[in-house]
Amino acid sequence: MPDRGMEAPDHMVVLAMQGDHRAQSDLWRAHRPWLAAVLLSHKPRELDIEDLMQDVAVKFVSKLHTLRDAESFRPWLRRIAINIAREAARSLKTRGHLPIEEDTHVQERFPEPDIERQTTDEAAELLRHATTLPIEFREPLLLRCVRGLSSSQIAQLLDLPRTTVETRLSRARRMLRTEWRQRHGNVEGEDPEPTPESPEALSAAHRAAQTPRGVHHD
Amino acid sequence: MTDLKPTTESNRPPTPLDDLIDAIVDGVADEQAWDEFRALAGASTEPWRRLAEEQRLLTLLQSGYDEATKQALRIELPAGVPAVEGHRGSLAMSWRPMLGWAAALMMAMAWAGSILIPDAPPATPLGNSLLAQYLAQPHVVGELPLDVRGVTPTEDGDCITYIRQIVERRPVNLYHLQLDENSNPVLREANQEPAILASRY
Repeated sequence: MPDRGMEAPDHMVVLAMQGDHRAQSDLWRAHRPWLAAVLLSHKPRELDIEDLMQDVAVKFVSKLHTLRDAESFRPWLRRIAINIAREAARSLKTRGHLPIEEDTHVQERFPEPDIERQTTDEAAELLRHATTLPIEFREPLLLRCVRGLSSSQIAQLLDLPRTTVETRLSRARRMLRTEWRQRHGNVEGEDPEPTPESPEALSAAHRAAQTPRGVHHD
Repeated sequence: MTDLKPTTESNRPPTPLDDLIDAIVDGVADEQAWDEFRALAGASTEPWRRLAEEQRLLTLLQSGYDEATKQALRIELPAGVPAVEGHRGSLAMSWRPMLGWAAALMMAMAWAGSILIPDAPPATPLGNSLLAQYLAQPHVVGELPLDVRGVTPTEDGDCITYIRQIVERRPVNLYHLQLDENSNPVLREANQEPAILASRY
């Protein structure tokens, strides 16, 4: 199970800022899981996440002492990851990278770099769809894939109200589901597409039997 | 692949069923939420089908995400990358190499006759500062341990000759765009021998 990302106490951040190598290492391991989700959300598809993660690691070590206060550690680290992903995208544009996907010869020699090479077809395809969602939906959805990260913690990372994060997560899932159905039919394969009035009918039925919500978050 | 855009389906406000399904697949639904879901579903199979669909999609997404990030989650902090001098820590930075040498000297005195590899080189503070800035450049991956080539006795003590090895990474074009006999543009594989690449980059 990957390490959890949001439980580093401030004293560890302070120690790491002062140059304590062990604290730096512990801090890195604690925050690495969600950093991967942020990088995956912001990186260009052509680049390997591993390369960008290494760049973040180098920046983490070389710039940690410039952090002004331990409280701003997470936003600072997220900003570093986003900047590195964007810099990489700019650099890719400047270099005028080759259209790898459109050249079968190249594709045979160098299959798609990170996602497709490593995952099963369906899972890779779904993840690829997820990475084409608008960024405001993509980032919370991928952060939700980090095991142990709750909606509250995602909200804290993105500096958004929890309700906003939950709404975006809900919409991101629906967008993904709609896209998947269009390409593959229903996920279960045989049942017909639900009629448009189904949600309203269910909603009306629910209102009729309205009870206080029993949903607990975190 | 074009970016996914919000559709009518995804733009509509979530229904209570959406909320319940989200809570269930997130693992935060309690017994009461489950009761509500069962009551809402009644005799219809549709809510159960949607729940199954949602759970399968999220399991699939989780699996794709885990695979895609597996390697990245093994990346550790690089060794030997010093902090770049900033508004704080400048003094400590300039003294750190000296402290490393002082420690090495003390150990050398205690273990007379043994050869020690220094933790940090005895470069001038200015040189170290410039090198530290260079090591923080985006194309620098990190620094390998010192490669000690020899020890020479001098009047002031032993003098160590070593090589500092800096690992860099640069993008390379592995294909050339050329014209064929009909003047059509074609991609031709470039020579990827390390020595050739090294001479080009």
